[in-house]
Amino acid sequence: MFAFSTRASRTLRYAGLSIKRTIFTSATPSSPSSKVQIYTLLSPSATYNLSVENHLMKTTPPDSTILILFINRPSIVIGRNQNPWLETNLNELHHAPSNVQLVRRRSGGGAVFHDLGNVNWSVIHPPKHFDRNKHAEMVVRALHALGKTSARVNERHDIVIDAPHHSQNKTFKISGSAYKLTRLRAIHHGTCLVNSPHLARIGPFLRSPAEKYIQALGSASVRSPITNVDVSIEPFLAAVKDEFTKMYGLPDVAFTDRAEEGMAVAEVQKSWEELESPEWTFGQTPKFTFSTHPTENDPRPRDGVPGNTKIWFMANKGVIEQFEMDDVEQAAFKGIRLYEPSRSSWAERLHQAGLDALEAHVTGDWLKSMLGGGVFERLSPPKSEHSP
Amino acid sequence: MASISRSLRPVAMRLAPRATPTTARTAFRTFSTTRMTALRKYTKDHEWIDLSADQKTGVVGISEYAAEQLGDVVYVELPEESGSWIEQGDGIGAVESVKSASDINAPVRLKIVSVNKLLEEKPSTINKVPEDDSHGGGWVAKVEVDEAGAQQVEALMDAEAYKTFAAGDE
Repeated sequence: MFAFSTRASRTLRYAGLSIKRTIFTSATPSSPSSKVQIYTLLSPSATYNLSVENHLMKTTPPDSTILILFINRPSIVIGRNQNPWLETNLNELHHAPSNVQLVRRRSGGGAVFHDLGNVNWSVIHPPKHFDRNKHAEMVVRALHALGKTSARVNERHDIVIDAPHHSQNKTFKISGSAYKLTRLRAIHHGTCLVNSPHLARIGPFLRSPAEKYIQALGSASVRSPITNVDVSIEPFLAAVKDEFTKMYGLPDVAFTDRAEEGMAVAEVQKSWEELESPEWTFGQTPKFTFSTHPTENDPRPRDGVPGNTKIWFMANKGVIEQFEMDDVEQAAFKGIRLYEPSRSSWAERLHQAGLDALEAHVTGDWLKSMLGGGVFERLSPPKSEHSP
Repeated sequence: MASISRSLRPVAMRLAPRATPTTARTAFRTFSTTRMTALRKYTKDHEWIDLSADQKTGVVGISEYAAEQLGDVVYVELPEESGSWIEQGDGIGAVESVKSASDINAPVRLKIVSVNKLLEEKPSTINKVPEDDSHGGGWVAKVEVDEAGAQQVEALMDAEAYKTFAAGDE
Protein backbone atom coordinates (compact mmCIF):
# COMPACT_ATOMS: atom_id res chain seq x y z
CA MET A 1 0.00 0.00 0.00
CA PHE A 2 2.81 2.37 0.80
CA ALA A 3 4.34 1.65 -2.55
CA PHE A 4 1.06 2.55 -4.20
CA SER A 5 0.83 5.84 -2.40
CA THR A 6 4.41 6.75 -3.33
CA ARG A 7 3.70 6.02 -6.94
CA ALA A 8 0.48 8.00 -6.79
CA SER A 9 2.22 11.06 -5.41
CA ARG A 10 4.91 10.85 -8.06
CA THR A 11 2.34 10.58 -10.79
CA LEU A 12 0.60 13.58 -9.31
CA ARG A 13 3.84 15.50 -9.11
CA TYR A 14 4.61 14.81 -12.71
CA ALA A 15 1.01 14.86 -13.87
CA GLY A 16 1.68 17.60 -16.35
CA LEU A 17 4.59 15.69 -17.80
CA SER A 18 3.13 12.24 -17.82
CA ILE A 19 4.15 11.48 -21.38
CA LYS A 20 7.72 12.58 -20.91
CA ARG A 21 7.98 10.92 -17.52
CA THR A 22 7.67 7.56 -19.14
CA ILE A 23 10.78 8.04 -21.25
CA PHE A 24 12.92 6.25 -18.66
CA THR A 25 10.49 3.40 -18.18
CA SER A 26 8.92 3.08 -21.61
CA ALA A 27 10.27 0.80 -24.30
CA THR A 28 11.76 3.67 -26.27
CA PRO A 29 15.27 3.88 -24.74
CA SER A 30 15.60 0.10 -24.49
CA SER A 31 13.92 -0.80 -27.76
CA PRO A 32 16.33 -2.53 -30.16
CA SER A 33 15.64 0.02 -32.88
CA SER A 34 16.80 2.98 -30.75
CA LYS A 35 20.38 2.89 -31.99
CA VAL A 36 21.24 6.54 -31.41
CA GLN A 37 19.97 8.44 -28.40
CA ILE A 38 20.68 11.90 -27.00
CA TYR A 39 19.77 12.96 -23.46
CA THR A 40 20.05 16.41 -21.96
CA LEU A 41 19.70 16.31 -18.19
CA LEU A 42 18.82 19.59 -16.55
CA SER A 43 19.28 18.45 -12.95
CA PRO A 44 22.30 20.01 -11.22
CA SER A 45 22.79 16.92 -9.04
CA ALA A 46 25.96 15.00 -9.95
CA THR A 47 24.71 11.89 -8.17
CA TYR A 48 21.37 11.98 -10.00
CA ASN A 49 22.97 12.57 -13.38
CA LEU A 50 25.49 9.76 -12.87
CA SER A 51 22.61 7.49 -11.81
CA VAL A 52 20.70 8.19 -15.02
CA GLU A 53 23.89 7.51 -16.97
CA ASN A 54 24.30 4.21 -15.11
CA HIS A 55 20.69 3.27 -15.79
CA LEU A 56 21.00 4.05 -19.50
CA MET A 57 24.21 2.01 -19.64
CA LYS A 58 22.33 -0.99 -18.27
CA THR A 59 19.09 -0.66 -20.23
CA THR A 60 19.87 0.71 -23.68
CA PRO A 61 20.45 -1.82 -26.50
CA PRO A 62 24.00 -3.26 -26.49
CA ASP A 63 24.69 -1.99 -30.00
CA SER A 64 23.33 1.53 -29.43
CA THR A 65 25.30 4.70 -28.89
CA ILE A 66 24.07 7.24 -26.35
CA LEU A 67 25.11 10.85 -25.74
CA ILE A 68 24.27 12.40 -22.37
CA LEU A 69 24.92 16.05 -21.55
CA PHE A 70 24.62 17.51 -18.07
CA ILE A 71 25.88 20.30 -15.84
CA ASN A 72 26.42 19.81 -12.11
CA ARG A 73 26.26 22.22 -9.21
CA PRO A 74 29.69 22.77 -7.59
CA SER A 75 31.02 19.30 -6.79
CA ILE A 76 34.36 17.58 -6.31
CA VAL A 77 34.16 14.31 -8.21
CA ILE A 78 36.77 11.68 -7.40
CA GLY A 79 37.55 8.47 -9.30
CA ARG A 80 36.29 5.05 -8.31
CA ASN A 81 39.49 3.95 -6.57
CA GLN A 82 40.64 7.22 -5.05
CA ASN A 83 41.19 8.35 -1.48
CA PRO A 84 39.19 11.45 -0.45
CA TRP A 85 41.52 12.05 2.53
CA LEU A 86 44.41 12.28 0.07
CA GLU A 87 42.73 13.92 -2.92
CA THR A 88 40.57 16.57 -1.27
CA ASN A 89 40.57 19.00 1.62
CA LEU A 90 37.73 17.57 3.66
CA ASN A 91 37.81 20.49 6.08
CA GLU A 92 37.21 22.92 3.23
CA LEU A 93 34.38 20.72 2.01
CA HIS A 94 32.95 20.38 5.52
CA HIS A 95 32.84 24.12 5.87
CA ALA A 96 30.67 24.40 2.83
CA PRO A 97 28.64 21.20 2.62
CA SER A 98 25.72 22.81 0.84
CA ASN A 99 27.95 24.54 -1.67
CA VAL A 100 30.34 21.84 -2.79
CA GLN A 101 29.43 18.18 -2.75
CA LEU A 102 31.98 15.38 -2.67
CA VAL A 103 31.03 12.60 -5.09
CA ARG A 104 32.75 9.34 -5.99
CA ARG A 105 31.97 8.21 -9.52
CA ARG A 106 32.00 4.60 -10.75
CA SER A 107 34.57 5.17 -13.47
CA GLY A 108 38.33 5.32 -13.01
CA GLY A 109 40.67 8.28 -13.14
CA GLY A 110 41.34 11.32 -11.00
CA ALA A 111 39.63 14.07 -9.05
CA VAL A 112 37.94 16.96 -10.85
CA PHE A 113 35.87 20.00 -9.96
CA HIS A 114 32.44 20.56 -11.51
CA ASP A 115 30.31 23.66 -11.43
CA LEU A 116 27.68 25.38 -13.54
CA GLY A 117 30.35 26.52 -16.01
CA ASN A 118 31.50 22.96 -16.66
CA VAL A 119 29.69 20.72 -19.14
CA ASN A 120 29.78 16.96 -18.63
CA TRP A 121 29.50 14.87 -21.76
CA SER A 122 29.10 11.12 -21.74
CA VAL A 123 29.04 8.58 -24.55
CA ILE A 124 27.78 5.05 -23.88
CA HIS A 125 28.69 2.61 -26.61
CA PRO A 126 29.54 -1.04 -27.32
CA PRO A 127 32.88 -1.95 -25.69
CA LYS A 128 34.30 -3.36 -28.87
CA HIS A 129 34.45 0.17 -30.22
CA PHE A 130 36.27 1.35 -27.11
CA ASP A 131 39.00 3.84 -27.85
CA ARG A 132 40.20 6.30 -25.24
CA ASN A 133 40.51 9.20 -27.67
CA LYS A 134 37.61 8.71 -30.05
CA HIS A 135 35.06 10.80 -28.17
CA ALA A 136 37.55 13.32 -26.82
CA GLU A 137 38.28 13.95 -30.51
CA MET A 138 34.55 14.43 -31.06
CA VAL A 139 34.57 17.20 -28.43
CA VAL A 140 37.71 18.69 -29.98
CA ARG A 141 35.89 18.95 -33.33
CA ALA A 142 33.02 20.69 -31.54
CA LEU A 143 35.50 23.18 -30.06
CA HIS A 144 37.10 23.73 -33.46
CA ALA A 145 33.67 24.47 -34.88
CA LEU A 146 33.33 27.16 -32.20
CA GLY A 147 36.62 28.72 -33.27
CA LYS A 148 38.80 27.19 -30.55
CA THR A 149 41.27 25.83 -33.05
CA SER A 150 44.12 25.08 -30.66
CA ALA A 151 42.07 22.45 -28.81
CA ARG A 152 43.56 18.96 -29.06
CA VAL A 153 43.75 15.64 -27.23
CA ASN A 154 47.02 15.07 -25.39
CA GLU A 155 48.82 11.85 -24.46
CA ARG A 156 46.78 11.60 -21.24
CA HIS A 157 43.53 11.61 -23.25
CA ASP A 158 42.77 15.10 -21.87
CA ILE A 159 41.79 18.03 -24.05
CA VAL A 160 44.18 20.97 -23.84
CA ILE A 161 44.39 24.38 -25.47
CA ASP A 162 47.42 26.57 -26.07
CA ALA A 163 48.32 29.00 -23.33
CA PRO A 164 48.75 32.71 -24.00
CA HIS A 165 52.36 33.64 -24.87
CA HIS A 166 53.11 35.29 -21.55
CA SER A 167 52.09 32.20 -19.59
CA GLN A 168 54.52 29.88 -17.83
CA ASN A 169 52.65 26.85 -19.14
CA LYS A 170 52.58 25.69 -22.72
CA THR A 171 49.07 24.30 -22.53
CA PHE A 172 46.09 24.34 -20.21
CA LYS A 173 43.77 21.45 -19.61
CA ILE A 174 40.11 22.18 -20.31
CA SER A 175 38.68 18.66 -20.28
CA GLY A 176 39.43 15.37 -18.53
CA SER A 177 38.19 11.87 -19.29
CA ALA A 178 37.27 8.72 -17.40
CA TYR A 179 36.04 5.34 -18.53
CA LYS A 180 33.92 2.46 -17.31
CA LEU A 181 33.93 -0.88 -19.08
CA THR A 182 31.42 -3.63 -18.45
CA ARG A 183 30.78 -6.83 -20.36
CA LEU A 184 28.20 -5.29 -22.67
CA ARG A 185 28.76 -1.55 -22.51
CA ALA A 186 31.48 1.07 -22.25
CA ILE A 187 31.18 4.61 -20.95
CA HIS A 188 33.54 7.40 -21.89
CA HIS A 189 32.64 10.51 -19.98
CA GLY A 190 34.44 13.78 -19.67
CA THR A 191 34.29 17.32 -18.44
CA CYS A 192 34.71 20.56 -20.34
CA LEU A 193 35.41 23.81 -18.54
CA VAL A 194 33.39 26.14 -20.70
CA ASN A 195 33.02 29.23 -18.53
CA SER A 196 33.49 28.30 -14.88
CA PRO A 197 33.41 31.33 -12.58
CA HIS A 198 35.18 29.36 -9.84
CA LEU A 199 38.56 28.38 -11.31
CA ALA A 200 40.40 30.18 -8.52
CA ARG A 201 38.35 28.32 -5.89
CA ILE A 202 39.17 24.87 -7.19
CA GLY A 203 42.75 24.53 -5.97
CA PRO A 204 42.13 24.53 -2.20
CA PHE A 205 39.43 21.84 -2.48
CA LEU A 206 41.76 19.51 -4.37
CA ARG A 207 44.74 19.88 -2.05
CA SER A 208 44.81 17.71 1.05
CA PRO A 209 46.59 18.96 4.17
CA ALA A 210 47.31 15.30 4.97
CA GLU A 211 49.08 14.53 1.68
CA LYS A 212 52.54 14.03 3.18
CA TYR A 213 51.25 11.79 5.97
CA ILE A 214 49.21 9.43 3.82
CA GLN A 215 50.39 6.55 1.68
CA ALA A 216 47.55 5.09 -0.31
CA LEU A 217 46.78 2.26 -2.69
CA GLY A 218 44.52 3.06 -5.60
CA SER A 219 44.53 5.71 -8.27
CA ALA A 220 46.32 9.03 -7.75
CA SER A 221 45.37 12.23 -9.57
CA VAL A 222 47.80 13.99 -11.87
CA ARG A 223 47.71 17.76 -11.39
CA SER A 224 47.33 19.90 -14.50
CA PRO A 225 46.92 23.66 -14.88
CA ILE A 226 43.37 24.33 -16.03
CA THR A 227 41.52 27.11 -17.79
CA ASN A 228 38.16 27.85 -19.39
CA VAL A 229 37.56 27.42 -23.11
CA ASP A 230 35.60 30.63 -22.86
CA VAL A 231 32.55 29.87 -24.95
CA SER A 232 28.89 29.94 -23.93
CA ILE A 233 27.12 26.81 -22.72
CA GLU A 234 24.36 26.64 -25.34
CA PRO A 235 26.54 26.81 -28.45
CA PHE A 236 28.88 24.25 -26.89
CA LEU A 237 26.03 21.80 -26.20
CA ALA A 238 24.76 22.28 -29.76
CA ALA A 239 28.23 21.76 -31.25
CA VAL A 240 28.80 18.51 -29.30
CA LYS A 241 25.39 17.18 -30.36
CA ASP A 242 26.20 18.15 -33.90
CA GLU A 243 29.50 16.25 -33.93
CA PHE A 244 27.88 13.23 -32.25
CA THR A 245 25.18 13.23 -34.94
CA LYS A 246 27.83 13.42 -37.65
CA MET A 247 29.42 10.26 -36.22
CA TYR A 248 26.33 8.22 -35.48
CA GLY A 249 23.42 9.75 -37.37
CA LEU A 250 20.28 11.53 -36.21
CA PRO A 251 18.95 10.30 -32.86
CA ASP A 252 16.07 7.85 -32.60
CA VAL A 253 15.49 9.20 -29.09
CA ALA A 254 16.17 12.81 -28.09
CA PHE A 255 15.05 13.62 -24.60
CA THR A 256 15.42 16.55 -22.26
CA ASP A 257 14.90 15.69 -18.60
CA ARG A 258 13.63 18.86 -16.97
CA ALA A 259 12.37 17.47 -13.70
CA GLU A 260 14.50 14.57 -12.55
CA GLU A 261 11.93 12.25 -13.96
CA GLY A 262 14.36 9.37 -13.74
CA MET A 263 13.88 9.35 -9.95
CA ALA A 264 10.58 7.57 -10.63
CA VAL A 265 12.63 4.61 -11.85
CA ALA A 266 13.57 2.29 -8.99
CA GLU A 267 17.04 1.56 -10.43
CA VAL A 268 17.89 5.25 -10.74
CA GLN A 269 16.70 5.91 -7.20
CA LYS A 270 18.74 2.96 -5.90
CA SER A 271 21.87 4.11 -7.70
CA TRP A 272 21.35 7.66 -6.43
CA GLU A 273 21.08 6.40 -2.85
CA GLU A 274 24.30 4.44 -3.25
CA LEU A 275 26.23 7.39 -4.69
CA GLU A 276 24.91 9.65 -1.89
CA SER A 277 25.91 7.22 0.85
CA PRO A 278 29.09 7.71 2.90
CA GLU A 279 29.60 3.95 2.61
CA TRP A 280 30.25 4.50 -1.11
CA THR A 281 31.91 7.94 -1.05
CA PHE A 282 34.28 7.11 1.82
CA GLY A 283 33.85 3.37 2.35
CA GLN A 284 35.07 2.50 -1.16
CA THR A 285 38.52 3.94 -0.33
CA PRO A 286 41.40 1.50 -0.94
CA LYS A 287 43.70 0.66 1.95
CA PHE A 288 45.96 3.47 3.21
CA THR A 289 48.31 4.31 6.03
CA PHE A 290 48.63 7.58 7.93
CA SER A 291 51.84 8.30 9.81
CA THR A 292 53.16 11.34 11.66
CA HIS A 293 56.71 10.08 11.21
CA PRO A 294 58.83 8.45 8.49
CA THR A 295 58.44 4.68 8.36
CA GLU A 296 60.22 1.90 6.53
CA ASN A 297 57.47 1.74 3.93
CA ASP A 298 57.03 5.51 3.68
CA PRO A 299 60.31 7.26 4.52
CA ARG A 300 59.25 10.75 3.39
CA PRO A 301 60.28 13.41 5.90
CA ARG A 302 57.35 14.91 7.84
CA ASP A 303 57.07 18.28 9.44
CA GLY A 304 54.42 20.43 10.98
CA VAL A 305 53.27 17.81 13.47
CA PRO A 306 52.50 19.50 16.77
CA GLY A 307 53.00 17.63 20.03
CA ASN A 308 55.41 14.81 20.72
CA THR A 309 53.21 11.80 20.05
CA LYS A 310 53.78 9.45 17.16
CA ILE A 311 50.54 8.34 15.51
CA TRP A 312 50.34 5.62 12.87
CA PHE A 313 47.27 3.89 11.55
CA MET A 314 46.15 1.72 8.69
CA ALA A 315 42.62 2.03 7.31
CA ASN A 316 40.79 -0.13 4.80
CA LYS A 317 37.45 0.91 3.29
CA GLY A 318 37.59 4.02 5.49
CA VAL A 319 37.72 1.99 8.70
CA ILE A 320 40.76 1.84 11.03
CA GLU A 321 42.18 -1.68 11.08
CA GLN A 322 45.29 -0.98 13.13
CA PHE A 323 46.28 2.04 15.23
CA GLU A 324 49.55 2.75 17.02
CA MET A 325 50.40 5.52 19.47
CA ASP A 326 54.14 5.86 20.13
CA ASP A 327 54.62 2.46 18.49
CA VAL A 328 52.19 0.75 20.85
CA GLU A 329 49.08 -0.78 19.31
CA GLN A 330 45.79 0.65 20.60
CA ALA A 331 42.99 -1.85 20.12
CA ALA A 332 40.35 0.70 21.17
CA PHE A 333 40.80 2.58 17.89
CA LYS A 334 40.18 -0.47 15.72
CA GLY A 335 36.88 -0.25 13.86
CA ILE A 336 36.55 3.55 13.94
CA ARG A 337 34.95 4.74 10.73
CA LEU A 338 37.01 7.75 9.65
CA TYR A 339 34.00 9.20 7.89
CA GLU A 340 31.55 9.20 10.75
CA PRO A 341 31.50 11.73 13.54
CA SER A 342 32.39 9.59 16.52
CA ARG A 343 30.76 9.96 19.90
CA SER A 344 34.07 10.90 21.40
CA SER A 345 36.59 13.19 19.73
CA TRP A 346 40.14 12.26 18.77
CA ALA A 347 41.32 14.21 21.84
CA GLU A 348 39.10 12.24 24.22
CA ARG A 349 40.16 8.93 22.72
CA LEU A 350 43.85 9.82 22.87
CA HIS A 351 43.43 10.92 26.50
CA GLN A 352 41.71 7.63 27.31
CA ALA A 353 44.61 5.84 25.63
CA GLY A 354 47.01 7.45 28.07
CA LEU A 355 48.09 10.85 26.74
CA ASP A 356 47.92 13.73 29.19
CA ALA A 357 45.09 16.17 28.61
CA LEU A 358 47.12 18.88 26.87
CA GLU A 359 49.02 16.51 24.57
CA ALA A 360 45.79 14.67 23.73
CA HIS A 361 44.12 17.98 22.90
CA VAL A 362 46.97 19.22 20.68
CA THR A 363 47.36 15.93 18.82
CA GLY A 364 43.61 15.32 18.61
CA ASP A 365 42.87 18.73 17.10
CA TRP A 366 45.64 18.25 14.60
CA LEU A 367 44.29 14.83 13.56
CA LYS A 368 40.87 16.38 13.08
CA SER A 369 42.35 19.11 10.88
CA MET A 370 44.10 16.45 8.81
CA LEU A 371 41.23 14.00 8.43
CA GLY A 372 38.12 16.16 8.46
CA GLY A 373 35.61 16.41 11.23
CA GLY A 374 33.13 13.80 10.13
CA VAL A 375 30.69 12.85 7.49
CA PHE A 376 28.94 15.25 5.16
CA GLU A 377 25.33 16.19 5.56
CA ARG A 378 23.31 14.11 3.15
CA LEU A 379 21.62 16.31 0.62
CA SER A 380 17.90 15.99 0.29
CA PRO A 381 16.72 14.20 -2.86
CA PRO A 382 17.16 16.32 -5.95
CA LYS A 383 14.31 18.72 -6.61
CA SER A 384 13.23 19.95 -9.94
CA GLU A 385 13.10 23.60 -8.85
CA HIS A 386 16.89 23.54 -8.55
CA SER A 387 17.21 23.09 -12.28
CA PRO A 388 19.21 25.82 -13.96
CA MET B 1 36.84 -8.79 -18.13
CA ALA B 2 34.86 -6.50 -20.32
CA SER B 3 35.44 -7.05 -23.97
CA ILE B 4 38.46 -5.12 -24.96
CA SER B 5 38.77 -3.36 -28.19
CA ARG B 6 41.44 -4.12 -30.67
CA SER B 7 41.20 -0.47 -31.57
CA LEU B 8 43.59 0.23 -28.71
CA ARG B 9 46.24 -1.49 -30.73
CA PRO B 10 47.95 0.28 -33.57
CA VAL B 11 46.09 -0.27 -36.79
CA ALA B 12 49.12 -1.80 -38.44
CA MET B 13 49.28 -4.46 -35.76
CA ARG B 14 45.60 -5.17 -36.09
CA LEU B 15 45.85 -5.66 -39.79
CA ALA B 16 49.01 -7.72 -39.61
CA PRO B 17 48.76 -11.43 -40.23
CA ARG B 18 48.00 -13.32 -37.06
CA ALA B 19 51.25 -15.23 -37.12
CA THR B 20 53.56 -12.21 -36.96
CA PRO B 21 56.10 -12.42 -34.17
CA THR B 22 54.69 -9.21 -32.58
CA THR B 23 51.24 -10.64 -32.08
CA ALA B 24 52.57 -13.92 -30.81
CA ARG B 25 54.92 -12.20 -28.38
CA THR B 26 52.55 -9.59 -27.02
CA ALA B 27 49.55 -11.76 -26.50
CA PHE B 28 50.95 -15.10 -25.60
CA ARG B 29 54.54 -14.70 -24.61
CA THR B 30 54.46 -16.62 -21.35
CA PHE B 31 52.28 -19.49 -22.39
CA SER B 32 55.32 -21.68 -22.39
CA THR B 33 56.42 -20.62 -18.91
CA THR B 34 53.01 -20.84 -17.26
CA ARG B 35 52.14 -24.19 -15.79
CA MET B 36 49.50 -25.19 -18.28
CA THR B 37 46.75 -27.47 -17.22
CA ALA B 38 44.70 -29.22 -19.83
CA LEU B 39 41.62 -27.86 -18.10
CA ARG B 40 42.36 -24.13 -18.40
CA LYS B 41 39.48 -22.52 -20.25
CA TYR B 42 38.85 -18.99 -21.47
CA THR B 43 35.78 -16.76 -21.85
CA LYS B 44 35.00 -14.29 -24.60
CA ASP B 45 35.33 -11.65 -21.87
CA HIS B 46 38.99 -12.63 -21.47
CA GLU B 47 38.87 -14.39 -18.12
CA TRP B 48 40.41 -17.81 -17.56
CA ILE B 49 39.51 -20.59 -15.16
CA ASP B 50 41.46 -23.68 -14.13
CA LEU B 51 39.24 -26.45 -12.91
CA SER B 52 40.61 -29.03 -10.48
CA ALA B 53 40.51 -32.71 -11.46
CA ASP B 54 37.54 -33.34 -9.15
CA GLN B 55 35.71 -30.38 -10.78
CA LYS B 56 34.85 -28.85 -7.42
CA THR B 57 37.38 -26.02 -7.15
CA GLY B 58 39.15 -23.68 -9.51
CA VAL B 59 41.36 -20.65 -9.98
CA VAL B 60 40.23 -17.56 -11.89
CA GLY B 61 42.20 -14.79 -13.58
CA ILE B 62 42.33 -12.51 -16.62
CA SER B 63 44.10 -13.46 -19.82
CA GLU B 64 47.47 -12.26 -21.04
CA TYR B 65 45.66 -10.68 -23.95
CA ALA B 66 43.39 -8.71 -21.62
CA ALA B 67 46.29 -7.64 -19.43
CA GLU B 68 48.11 -6.42 -22.50
CA GLN B 69 45.11 -4.44 -23.74
CA LEU B 70 44.35 -2.84 -20.37
CA GLY B 71 47.66 -1.06 -20.07
CA ASP B 72 49.24 -0.31 -16.70
CA VAL B 73 46.98 -1.57 -13.94
CA VAL B 74 46.96 0.81 -10.96
CA TYR B 75 44.39 -0.92 -8.78
CA VAL B 76 42.64 -4.26 -8.54
CA GLU B 77 39.32 -4.38 -6.71
CA LEU B 78 39.37 -7.92 -5.42
CA PRO B 79 36.22 -10.02 -5.15
CA GLU B 80 34.43 -10.18 -1.81
CA GLU B 81 34.78 -13.44 0.04
CA SER B 82 31.06 -13.31 0.66
CA GLY B 83 30.33 -17.01 0.63
CA SER B 84 27.43 -16.65 -1.78
CA TRP B 85 27.06 -18.09 -5.27
CA ILE B 86 27.74 -15.74 -8.17
CA GLU B 87 26.19 -16.41 -11.57
CA GLN B 88 28.18 -16.69 -14.77
CA GLY B 89 28.87 -13.25 -16.27
CA ASP B 90 28.19 -11.28 -13.08
CA GLY B 91 30.86 -8.86 -11.92
CA ILE B 92 33.19 -10.18 -9.21
CA GLY B 93 35.77 -7.40 -9.18
CA ALA B 94 37.30 -4.65 -11.26
CA VAL B 95 40.63 -3.47 -12.58
CA GLU B 96 41.63 0.17 -13.00
CA SER B 97 44.07 1.11 -15.72
CA VAL B 98 44.58 4.36 -17.63
CA LYS B 99 41.47 6.01 -16.10
CA SER B 100 39.29 3.00 -16.94
CA ALA B 101 37.44 0.85 -14.44
CA SER B 102 36.90 -2.54 -16.12
CA ASP B 103 34.74 -5.26 -14.62
CA ILE B 104 36.08 -8.75 -13.98
CA ASN B 105 33.21 -11.18 -14.49
CA ALA B 106 32.61 -14.66 -13.16
CA PRO B 107 33.61 -17.04 -16.00
CA VAL B 108 31.14 -19.61 -14.64
CA ARG B 109 28.78 -19.92 -11.70
CA LEU B 110 31.09 -19.89 -8.69
CA LYS B 111 31.67 -19.04 -5.05
CA ILE B 112 34.74 -17.05 -4.01
CA VAL B 113 36.92 -19.02 -1.58
CA SER B 114 39.95 -16.73 -1.34
CA VAL B 115 41.44 -13.81 -3.23
CA ASN B 116 44.97 -12.92 -4.31
CA LYS B 117 45.91 -10.25 -1.76
CA LEU B 118 49.19 -9.65 -3.57
CA LEU B 119 47.26 -7.77 -6.28
CA GLU B 120 46.11 -5.23 -3.70
CA GLU B 121 49.67 -4.21 -2.87
CA LYS B 122 51.23 -4.94 -6.26
CA PRO B 123 48.57 -4.44 -8.95
CA SER B 124 51.20 -4.48 -11.71
CA THR B 125 51.57 -8.23 -11.06
CA ILE B 126 48.46 -8.63 -13.20
CA ASN B 127 50.31 -7.01 -16.11
CA LYS B 128 53.38 -9.19 -15.65
CA VAL B 129 52.03 -12.68 -14.95
CA PRO B 130 48.23 -12.63 -15.37
CA GLU B 131 47.99 -16.34 -16.14
CA ASP B 132 50.26 -17.53 -13.35
CA ASP B 133 48.22 -19.35 -10.72
CA SER B 134 51.10 -19.91 -8.33
CA HIS B 135 52.20 -17.91 -5.28
CA GLY B 136 53.43 -14.57 -6.63
CA GLY B 137 51.30 -14.92 -9.76
CA GLY B 138 48.57 -12.65 -11.10
CA TRP B 139 45.58 -14.97 -10.53
CA VAL B 140 42.55 -13.20 -9.04
CA ALA B 141 40.60 -15.71 -6.95
CA LYS B 142 40.33 -19.31 -5.82
CA VAL B 143 36.78 -20.49 -6.25
CA GLU B 144 34.36 -23.28 -5.54
CA VAL B 145 32.39 -24.62 -8.49
CA ASP B 146 29.19 -26.66 -8.43
CA GLU B 147 27.85 -29.00 -11.08
CA ALA B 148 26.26 -26.18 -13.06
CA GLY B 149 29.55 -24.25 -13.02
CA ALA B 150 31.53 -27.31 -14.07
CA GLN B 151 29.17 -27.77 -17.02
CA GLN B 152 29.64 -24.14 -18.01
CA VAL B 153 33.42 -24.67 -18.01
CA GLU B 154 32.92 -27.37 -20.66
CA ALA B 155 31.44 -24.80 -23.01
CA LEU B 156 34.33 -22.31 -22.67
CA MET B 157 37.23 -22.06 -25.10
CA ASP B 158 40.45 -24.01 -24.66
CA ALA B 159 43.79 -22.20 -25.07
CA GLU B 160 43.96 -22.90 -28.78
CA ALA B 161 40.41 -21.71 -29.49
CA TYR B 162 40.90 -18.62 -27.33
CA LYS B 163 44.12 -17.78 -29.11
CA THR B 164 42.26 -17.83 -32.41
CA PHE B 165 39.40 -15.83 -30.89
CA ALA B 166 41.65 -13.14 -29.42
CA ALA B 167 43.72 -12.87 -32.58
CA GLY B 168 40.64 -12.63 -34.76
CA ASP B 169 38.80 -9.93 -32.80
CA GLU B 170 35.26 -11.00 -31.99
